[in-house]
Amino acid sequence: MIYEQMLRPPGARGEREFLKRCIQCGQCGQICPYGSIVFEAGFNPETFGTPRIAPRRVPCYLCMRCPPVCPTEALLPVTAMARADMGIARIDKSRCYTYEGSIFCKTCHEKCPLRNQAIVMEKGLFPVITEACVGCGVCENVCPRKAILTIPKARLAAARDRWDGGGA
Amino acid sequence: MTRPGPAFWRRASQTGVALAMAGVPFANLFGLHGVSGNFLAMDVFGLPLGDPLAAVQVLASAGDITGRVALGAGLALALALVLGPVFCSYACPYGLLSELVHARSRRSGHLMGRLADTAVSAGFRVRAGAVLAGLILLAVFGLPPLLNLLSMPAYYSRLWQHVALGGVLWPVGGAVLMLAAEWRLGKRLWCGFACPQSVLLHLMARLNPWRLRLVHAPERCACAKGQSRCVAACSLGLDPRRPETLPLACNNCGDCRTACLRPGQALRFRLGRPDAQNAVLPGPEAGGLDKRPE
Repeated sequence: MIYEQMLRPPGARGEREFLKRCIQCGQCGQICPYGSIVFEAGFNPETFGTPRIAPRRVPCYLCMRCPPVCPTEALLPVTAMARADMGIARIDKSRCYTYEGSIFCKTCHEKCPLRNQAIVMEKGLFPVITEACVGCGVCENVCPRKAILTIPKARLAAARDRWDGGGA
Repeated sequence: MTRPGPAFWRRASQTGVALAMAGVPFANLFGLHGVSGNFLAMDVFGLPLGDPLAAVQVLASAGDITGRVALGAGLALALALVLGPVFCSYACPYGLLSELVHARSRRSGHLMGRLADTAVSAGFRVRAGAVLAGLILLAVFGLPPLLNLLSMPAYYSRLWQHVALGGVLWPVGGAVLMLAAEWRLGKRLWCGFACPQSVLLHLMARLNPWRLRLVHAPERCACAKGQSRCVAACSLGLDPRRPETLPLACNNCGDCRTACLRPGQALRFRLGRPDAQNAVLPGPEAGGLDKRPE
């Protein structure tokens, strides 16, 4: 399903429940100071007009202003960054400069809103994404090699199976 | 200098709402968040307002709604309960465009005649049927609020949200096609036969026997036989002289009353039961008639 690939704003309920409650009022997008939230414009009537985040365009900076304005609580009114629960990021080690050994890059670690919680530097050298990652997509946005992918919450179960073969 | 009449103030209200809803997303971009949202749900300086059908859909699908949504929808329904579906005639931007297109169509010779009573009731049945079928599907299959995809006023406000925030709103093309069809056929097709959002407003108005309603006093009608300015003035193709046919279609715009002001003032808006009102229409001595036909 197309909707399973969307990264939702912070506090979003499970995808199915989110879609039942989102009435496409757009208030989350209007309150976002970074322009992170865009509205789905595809041809799927179930997801049309619903908010999503495209990390490679503008990630979510976890200001947490959007959850409280959602009138239907499709976004639960959470305010703590650590509870954003949007998804999780994964590093493709075969593309990462640091793992590759060409350049010592720690851009993702430095820009992470949950630095030293969601991304830690193993042995001071290698970035490792932990279970504390909330899937804001900042690391994916800043990675110079585009070696990071943010996996939406709805796809986590399927994605975990795929990444277990060679992920971070 | 003549004072602006009710038609002017109604058009001013429609235009003001349309301009305000276009400006809201841009004001938000500059950090002004007093008003946000669109016609599906909005927040006006802390006061929630919303489309009752959107709220009912969430209730049907998810099983509950928040107090904010219930309050916003309740305020809209309360307004309809007292004044009838005046949202359609005083606020809806699609209604404004549709009326302008209809007026243009009339000038182009695509004259619209009065709709048959059967067509009026069929129009409501189509709209109500769509709402009922949609709500049943949502409740049974737990679907998202799909009837929002048929909300023309929402598309208008969402268009400006998309312009301000980026994105493509392709269904606006459908609204343009509908307006083109209305221009060609000289009929307000969407409002009369398709709009699901107005169904709850009409039903709510009908629940209240003391609502604001149009009252016709036949003895005051000054139009010659075969001539009817009020019917010609109604863009929805209704016959205001027969109020019993109006409750499920009339949106209390008052165009018929404005058309009747000069000839005889046979049409009036009154709060209360229709049977009691014909008897108490004020006479000339009470200021009820300011000009009899010459």
